[in-house]
Amino acid sequence: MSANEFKIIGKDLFESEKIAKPSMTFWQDVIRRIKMNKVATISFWIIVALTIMAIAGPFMSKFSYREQNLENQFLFGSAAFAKGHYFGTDDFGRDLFTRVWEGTRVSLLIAVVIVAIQGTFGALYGGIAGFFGGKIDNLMMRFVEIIMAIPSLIYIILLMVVMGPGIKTIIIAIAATEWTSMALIVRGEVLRLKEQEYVMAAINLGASPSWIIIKHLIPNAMGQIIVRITMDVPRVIFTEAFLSFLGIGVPAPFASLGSLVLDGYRLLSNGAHLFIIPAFFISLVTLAFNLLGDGLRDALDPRLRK
Amino acid sequence: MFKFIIRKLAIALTTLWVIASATFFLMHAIPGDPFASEKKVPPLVKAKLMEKYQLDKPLIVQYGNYLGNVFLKGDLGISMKIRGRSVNKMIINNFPKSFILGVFAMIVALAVGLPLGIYAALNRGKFKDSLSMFVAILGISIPSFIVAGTLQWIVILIKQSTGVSILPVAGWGEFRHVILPTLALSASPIAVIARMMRASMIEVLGLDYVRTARAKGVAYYTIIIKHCVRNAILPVITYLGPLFAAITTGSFVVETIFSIPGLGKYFSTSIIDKDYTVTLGVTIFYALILIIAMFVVDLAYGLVDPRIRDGKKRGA
Repeated sequence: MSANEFKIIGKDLFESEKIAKPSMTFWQDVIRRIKMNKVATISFWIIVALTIMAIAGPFMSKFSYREQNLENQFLFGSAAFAKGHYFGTDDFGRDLFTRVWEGTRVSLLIAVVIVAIQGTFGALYGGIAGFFGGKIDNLMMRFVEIIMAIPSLIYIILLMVVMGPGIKTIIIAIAATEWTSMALIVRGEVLRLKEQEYVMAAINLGASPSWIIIKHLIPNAMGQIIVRITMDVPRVIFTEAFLSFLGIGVPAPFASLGSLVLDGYRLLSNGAHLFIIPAFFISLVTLAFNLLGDGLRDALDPRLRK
Repeated sequence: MFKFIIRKLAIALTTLWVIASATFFLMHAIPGDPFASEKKVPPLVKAKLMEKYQLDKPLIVQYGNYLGNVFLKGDLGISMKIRGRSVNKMIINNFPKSFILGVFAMIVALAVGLPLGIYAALNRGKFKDSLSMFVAILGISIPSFIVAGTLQWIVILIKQSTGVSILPVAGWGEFRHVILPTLALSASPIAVIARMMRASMIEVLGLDYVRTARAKGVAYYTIIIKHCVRNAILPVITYLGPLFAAITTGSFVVETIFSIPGLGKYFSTSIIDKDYTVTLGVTIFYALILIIAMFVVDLAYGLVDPRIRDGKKRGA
């Protein structure tokens, strides 16, 4: 090759500075990373499918969740299927298929409402404690520690006796004990975030503390909050199931996934399907939320990126 | 050192006092009394009962008497539901059973969780890693009563199909009885330990001294065990403190399913029955164990990581 085969093409300053790929916001990037994570994507679609079934499932069967038929006790298999009981029947001849979706509906509803209440309260509490710091922070955190040290069952029962049994009471009682960990996480994040320049700028421009907490600090801690919320859903479902185990859960004839599993456990010798089917679905729900939470954490945390 | 112990003791006693007081007043805030749920008790008998357990006195007097008995005499009182049974005796009788189960479960959790986490970290991003972490997340996602119930169901199925009973389904007394509850109790700690160990191993594996050790030709397994595991295990040790307190004081679910006369079973039912003395006694006992476990964890830090020990000496 000789030198005259080359030619100088110069350099285009404008062209070399051009950003070839479209620019992405933080959340667009997070969604792109979640989509690349197969496990998290599958979990997300499992949650969507279970939610749809929780809404539509009870209408897909010709039986209602409380309809009893003592002639059809403990049916399972092809005989049950022929009668329209896809998952068989329980000790009162109630249709398990309808009850499982009704239970999923109740469990998901309780979990979503509780997580929304405790998430909002915990985030505001942690935000206030972290932002003001000093004595206010100290006092607020001692209060959280006392709440965490006392067995949560005591408050739950106190609230239940005061408000009477029912789904509303369960929601308030569990939310009243679960917000503390969210408060701790948001406080930690806020302590880190409030030292950054944009907060100083906001203070100097005269923004009020409530504006800074709600508009600047909490949105910036959103990543941690979302991961925590996703992981809290299974925890709340467990707590509700534990209350059912103690006999103070969702009152009959309502069903939650937890109460169905426990009823099934008591009737294990009559028909294993009553235990295994609800146990499968409760595990599927919690597994899907945990895996999605894991995927979100990986997508949100720059340190975990490869 | 003497000053350090005195300070630790003062903090521990204050914590115990706050927990005892908060629990005492919350328990008494629940409407009703321990004798309300029983069959109709004649008013005179009930008044006698209230007098016997001093429930007729003003709350503040009850509180003072209770604190005096607990902190000065170490007497946790008499159960209000199980007649004539002292709470101290209840803890002495039932705690060892929960304790044995808890210690077994912790050994299993460490023996399975640590290697699983290390294995996943060493194979980071590969299929082996995903599989290990999937197993671990199963342990967190499946509630203990489902693990316990499924284990029992499998044992029953084996007995029905082959006629051999490999393990007792429930009960207490022999080693055979410990196996199933231990498995049920350890499922979730295995998962937590494996995930923690994986995360901190990945962090440690990327540090400079690991590269230095490799560069100077230290054997692979020596690096993993001597350099990485020892540094990566610190978060797991922190977790062991609260875990020890929670797991050795018994799980209501596992003890009920396997009919084990442990402490967990009495505790949850005592709250529902408003058996004030049992609830308070077990809560204080639990807090005490938690404080001791956290203290041991603090000491263990120094053993595992000399940097922390030296730092403390310089600070004090």
